[in-house]
Amino acid sequence: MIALIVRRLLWMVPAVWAAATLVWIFMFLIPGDPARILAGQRADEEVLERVRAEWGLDRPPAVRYGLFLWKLVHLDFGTSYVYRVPVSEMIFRGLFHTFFLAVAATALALLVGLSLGMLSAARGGTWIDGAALALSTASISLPTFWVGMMLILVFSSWLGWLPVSGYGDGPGIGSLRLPGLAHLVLPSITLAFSSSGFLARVTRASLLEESTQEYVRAARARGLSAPAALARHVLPNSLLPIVTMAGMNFGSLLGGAIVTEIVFNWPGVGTVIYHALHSRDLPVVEGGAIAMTAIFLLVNLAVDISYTVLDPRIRR
Amino acid sequence: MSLKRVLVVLALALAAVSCSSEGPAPEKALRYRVREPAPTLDPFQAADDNSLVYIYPIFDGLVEFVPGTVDVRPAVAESWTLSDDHLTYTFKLRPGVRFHHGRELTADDVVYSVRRALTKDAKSLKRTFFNALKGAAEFWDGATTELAGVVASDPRTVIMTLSYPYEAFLSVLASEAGSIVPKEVYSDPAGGYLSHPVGCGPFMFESAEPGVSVTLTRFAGHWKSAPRDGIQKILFRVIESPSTALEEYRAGTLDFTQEFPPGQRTRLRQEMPDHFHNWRKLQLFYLEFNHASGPFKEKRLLRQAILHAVDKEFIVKTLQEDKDVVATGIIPPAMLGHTPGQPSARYDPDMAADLLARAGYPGGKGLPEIIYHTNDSMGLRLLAERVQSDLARIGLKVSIKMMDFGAFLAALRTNPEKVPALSLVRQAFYADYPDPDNFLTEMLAPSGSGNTGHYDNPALTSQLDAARREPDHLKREALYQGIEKLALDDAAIVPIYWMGQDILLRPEVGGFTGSPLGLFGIPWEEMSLNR
Repeated sequence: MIALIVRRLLWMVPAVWAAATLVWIFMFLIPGDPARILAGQRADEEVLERVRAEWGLDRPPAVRYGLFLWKLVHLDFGTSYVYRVPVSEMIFRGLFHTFFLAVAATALALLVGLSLGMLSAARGGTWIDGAALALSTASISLPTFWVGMMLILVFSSWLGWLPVSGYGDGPGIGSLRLPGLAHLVLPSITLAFSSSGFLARVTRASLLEESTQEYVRAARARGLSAPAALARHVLPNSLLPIVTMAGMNFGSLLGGAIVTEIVFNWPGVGTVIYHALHSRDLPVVEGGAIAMTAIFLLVNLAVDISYTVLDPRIRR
Repeated sequence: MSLKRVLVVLALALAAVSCSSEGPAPEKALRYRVREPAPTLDPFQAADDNSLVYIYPIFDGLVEFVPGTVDVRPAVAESWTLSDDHLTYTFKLRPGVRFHHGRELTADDVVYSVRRALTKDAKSLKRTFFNALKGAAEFWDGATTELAGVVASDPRTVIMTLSYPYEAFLSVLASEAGSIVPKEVYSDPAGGYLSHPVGCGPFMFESAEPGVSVTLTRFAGHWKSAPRDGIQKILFRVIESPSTALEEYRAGTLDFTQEFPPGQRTRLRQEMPDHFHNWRKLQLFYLEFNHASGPFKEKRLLRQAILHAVDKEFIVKTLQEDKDVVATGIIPPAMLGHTPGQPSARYDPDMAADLLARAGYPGGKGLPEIIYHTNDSMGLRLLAERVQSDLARIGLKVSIKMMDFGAFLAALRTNPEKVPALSLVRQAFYADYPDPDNFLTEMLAPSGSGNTGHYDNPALTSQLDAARREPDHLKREALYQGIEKLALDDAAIVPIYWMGQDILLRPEVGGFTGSPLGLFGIPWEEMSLNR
């Protein structure tokens, strides 16, 4: 088990390196001179030279790449061209803000997705199943920004129950702040909306497959009611695909749900990277991409480890 | 945790949430929406609205613009004189002007600030603003370390000498290029001033959360006295989405927002007439030709055909919902040299078809496809499609290309041969300072930073040089009217509209005046907030 974790962690090194290199190459190839974008369209060539020199953009690509890797090995992501603060600080702050959104959205999606899926499976083929299926299809197909705007219109503009957007003012932890609880509601629902549809479908399929097994029939034969059999026997045994799905979803949410963050003006890592891309703040884009790769890999690892807990057979 | 317990916790959380939806009520704070974070807070490195909305309240210069106009009045200088040869300005500084960090401002700070505006290493973008200042070019190039044009003759007197009469010089000093900064702060090699600017303006920098917000707070030591109920703080919030910003405004959590989702303008005007303001800016939206080579360079008649083929009226009325004004010329209203109703820019498709035939392309025959370059937004896409159909009406084929616009402009500027010769580019130009010299030179002279299309008309350039140095106001005005006519007759560009500015501002904010300069010219320090 430990050996497995260590081996997986070691594998992360080449994976992160490959991702970092890819991002670096793309940022290098993307049209638009970062110095020109930083200094403004009307800047003199002489001023551009100075901007390039300040950030080392005047060096040969091989040297720039080498320096990039060298710094990366020392866990130095560089300094933001625009804000002149360490990139690690900006990314960490963004991730911190996104984290709460991802947790709330995942919890909500699990709750709704599992319930819907179970209901659907338990009442397979009835109108309830059909309705649940329609609901999950709708939730998967509706675009996120539209769902977000509608929620804002209804709950903020018409009913006035919840704030329109922003992070809110929660209690502070050092220089960081927790989100306002009220501010968290709408963006989490928006994010949970589409993932709960997926989860419902996976849950339904997984439960239906599992319930054809012999042991379920045996349980029913012993006099267990259908819902009890479903909850106590079928569900625990069909958790693997659901956990995989939820874990992947959580990982990608942490990677910044850019659209939702923009609609709700959430200062998460997605927003940070979005603005950085606009202003060609290369170190921030690169640092953000690397951080996300690492996080995704870690979440995947966590999912894999959870298999061994859920399914003792895998441990062997 | 069982499912039941999770449900209970969630229900409790939701209950707690619905009780606490209101944020803290701000004290006399103006809540201002900006679209994107400021690229810079350094007045000499700033070149766009996004930065200038912060920079104007933080920094003062010797003179300032009278709100709502392009006229200049005393600021840090309480008075000035101009010599008879129109070359020497003597400024008398107001006593007791202080910087935000407490030190009193002296004439040496003024000298330091102008030198900084002319320093490459400070990455200043303001070199061309000071072209008329004596010794500016030599100082910029590093040929000398003395800047002959600016001298502090005593702690309260600054003498500025020009190498030719330049009527617009006071406008330059009233712009961000004339910002006065304290030397001890701005010579910090670590650049602390970039994240914490220090000036002597009516608001001082309080705090910023990168990419999220910037807070300015009123500077109690400012030389202007604050009005009753004056605005105490300006809280800038970055809100990327215009729809979100609009809903925030409707919910009462913003006092100021601009840029509305497309198609909403007319409705908002009716919905909130007391909140809605619109005024004209010194900004031109136009189409630029790639003049570097090919038919656009060689065939004036082809350019003229395009100039007359575009239905500007439709664009302004229908696409822009009357936010803007049809450009009947190049120089905007409110700027020196503006001529109302220039006939040379009017929409006339029959004449356009005729011009096209005379250019050698009857019905568009023989001319390859024109490429229209634009960045992608709903409004710009519709506009591009309208131009496309207008030009199709006289037989011209146009394909629209959307791309990373900054990158495209950089390519057009530096490697025009790598850009399709028949390129038509959507462009917008705003005045750096409100004078036709800046406007026309930057847009049409070969040296102009806004002349990405490489337009080069020696007759026009020499007239620009003459007009720049003309000391007589009326003669100068006539010269610029002539230059504009020349540019239109040559179809140097295709003017579409002069831009207007729409905003929503709560009626509790009193004393509002729109500024032809743009959003940054709004005098927040003179306005009140009755809340």
